[in-house]
Amino acid sequence: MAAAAAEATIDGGGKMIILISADGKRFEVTEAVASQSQLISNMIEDDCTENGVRLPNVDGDILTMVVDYCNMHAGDAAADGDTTKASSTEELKKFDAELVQALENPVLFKLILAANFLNIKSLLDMTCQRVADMMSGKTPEQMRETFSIENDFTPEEEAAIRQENAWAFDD
Amino acid sequence: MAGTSTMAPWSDLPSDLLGLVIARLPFPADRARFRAVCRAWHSALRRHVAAPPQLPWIVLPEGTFVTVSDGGVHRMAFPESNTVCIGSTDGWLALHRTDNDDDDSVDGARTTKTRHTFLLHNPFTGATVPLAELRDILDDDFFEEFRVCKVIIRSRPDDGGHLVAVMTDHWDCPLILCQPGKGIWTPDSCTMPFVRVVDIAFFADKLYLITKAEDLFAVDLADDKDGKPTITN
Repeated sequence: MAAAAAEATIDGGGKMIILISADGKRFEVTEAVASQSQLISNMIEDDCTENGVRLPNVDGDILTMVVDYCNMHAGDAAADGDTTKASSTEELKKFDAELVQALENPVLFKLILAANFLNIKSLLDMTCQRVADMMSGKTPEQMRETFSIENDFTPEEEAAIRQENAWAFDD
Repeated sequence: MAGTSTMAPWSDLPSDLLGLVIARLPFPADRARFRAVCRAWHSALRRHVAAPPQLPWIVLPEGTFVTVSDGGVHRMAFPESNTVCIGSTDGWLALHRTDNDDDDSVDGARTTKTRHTFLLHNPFTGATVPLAELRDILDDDFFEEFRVCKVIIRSRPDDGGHLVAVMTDHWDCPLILCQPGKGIWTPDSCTMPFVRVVDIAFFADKLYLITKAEDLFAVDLADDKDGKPTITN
């Protein structure tokens, strides 16, 4: 039963938590891993994780990435003494860099929403930085293309907005 | 619409999350282009960048602007040709235009006289304010031997008035105050503290001077009954 699994403990004595994605996929993680989400951390404090944590607005594929991220970063939050489980700083950097580089539309978009909903600050920072990096140096046309955005200005409005900062649009 | 279902609705990204992205776009040029993408981003930028902490821009004399934070280089055309920038404060530039007039002098020999024109220009709004009063002092004879060292501008948002202070290396005329359309003020010849001024700055209601003797002076600024600038202490 899910409840039994949620009550299960591992060697360190850490309780296990079950996360359930929108499409019903189940992820079993330690409290230390799950607590990186401020949302779940609050739920743990309030003792309402016994029957698993349903995340109705996070898809399974996105939750997989989030759980991978939290597993990798659990060492950050864990007590300093536990050096065997904590990933080295270099490993973490490499993991983050690879994760962020691989992020594309629309996964990046969903991951930002998930990081925001679950309130995982470091993941939210990282994904927002990725979006900003994808915008930097681009013209509005290129940004629209990158993010599949429709230009909903009238030609007059757009001309006026560009005129206000004409210096930013020269080559 | 077919095909759009796989597209993430980026223009619908909640405003507070757009704010986090904007916070990671420190460069003015990126922000200016960001707000030109779509309506949602335009209003998000306005909401999240009420008072952007920006480094000042550097203006080069011929009209090139360098944004320090990103090393960006921008060109903004001056409203007139033959013009160089001789000073700037906030968004205002003090511009100096020179035109060569060919004059037939009395004895028939052709001499070239240079006409000097001064104006304030705000490249962001396009506003221009002529500084006709400076022409009487900063003329061809002046520029033969002397130069303008610094020009600062104090703009009052309430009445839209400007006060321009010009520092020169002229021994007899190191400082000129000019209120466009109203008049100018210059110190009496060789009166303290207006001797060998090496730097000037507006702060609060005062003008501060540093002299070559390393003295700092604060002078009170006022308008006389005609609105001309004057110094009261």
